[in-house]
Amino acid sequence: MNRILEKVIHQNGTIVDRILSEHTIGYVVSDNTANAVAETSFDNTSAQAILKHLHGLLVSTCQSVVRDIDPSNKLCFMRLGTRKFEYLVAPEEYFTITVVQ
Amino acid sequence: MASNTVQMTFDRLVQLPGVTGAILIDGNGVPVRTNLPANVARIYADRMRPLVILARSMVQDLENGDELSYVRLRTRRQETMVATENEHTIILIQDNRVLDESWRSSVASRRASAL
Repeated sequence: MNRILEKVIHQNGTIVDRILSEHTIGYVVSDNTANAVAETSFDNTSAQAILKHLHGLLVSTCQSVVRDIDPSNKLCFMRLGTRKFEYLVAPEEYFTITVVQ
Repeated sequence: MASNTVQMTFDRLVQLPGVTGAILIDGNGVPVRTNLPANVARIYADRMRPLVILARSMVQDLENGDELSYVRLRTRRQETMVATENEHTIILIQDNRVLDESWRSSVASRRASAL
């Protein structure tokens, strides 16, 4: 595990536990620099799909849309609701985190 | 003209807490109802359309047979909700502070009723 990520998880243990316990199907944390999965509870195929589709294409599109409408604004968090799931996506500076519930 | 169902959904959504703007868009990407100036509504409609199209295909790729319901984009000051219903798209712009207060009081009342 990435050392920074390990430290962040350790420092926020209570919050991490709560996020993971309530109706959570799984999560993916990806390293933005390496564009790779840093930590996940899913199998590799599912994690890669989330990395490619959500963290890659959709996050960057949403960031662009927000900037286009107001250049001083910034995407902080995103929720994608579907018939089956809800994807909670937090695009941070070094990592992007998705929780699926 | 938009179906009655979509019109009614729009009327209901406009009353959600903290709504500062609302736009109803038809299947051709044209705003048909809004409480914002026409040019502002047009900008949102134009920008959100490709996002919805992309999100729809992403959702199908992630899980076969799944369908997009909504996308919520939280930014510094406001949250934009983009919901799809049949061919129509509804965009809501909500103030973060009001939204957070509403969420907090809803959580608090749920706790109170659990006691």
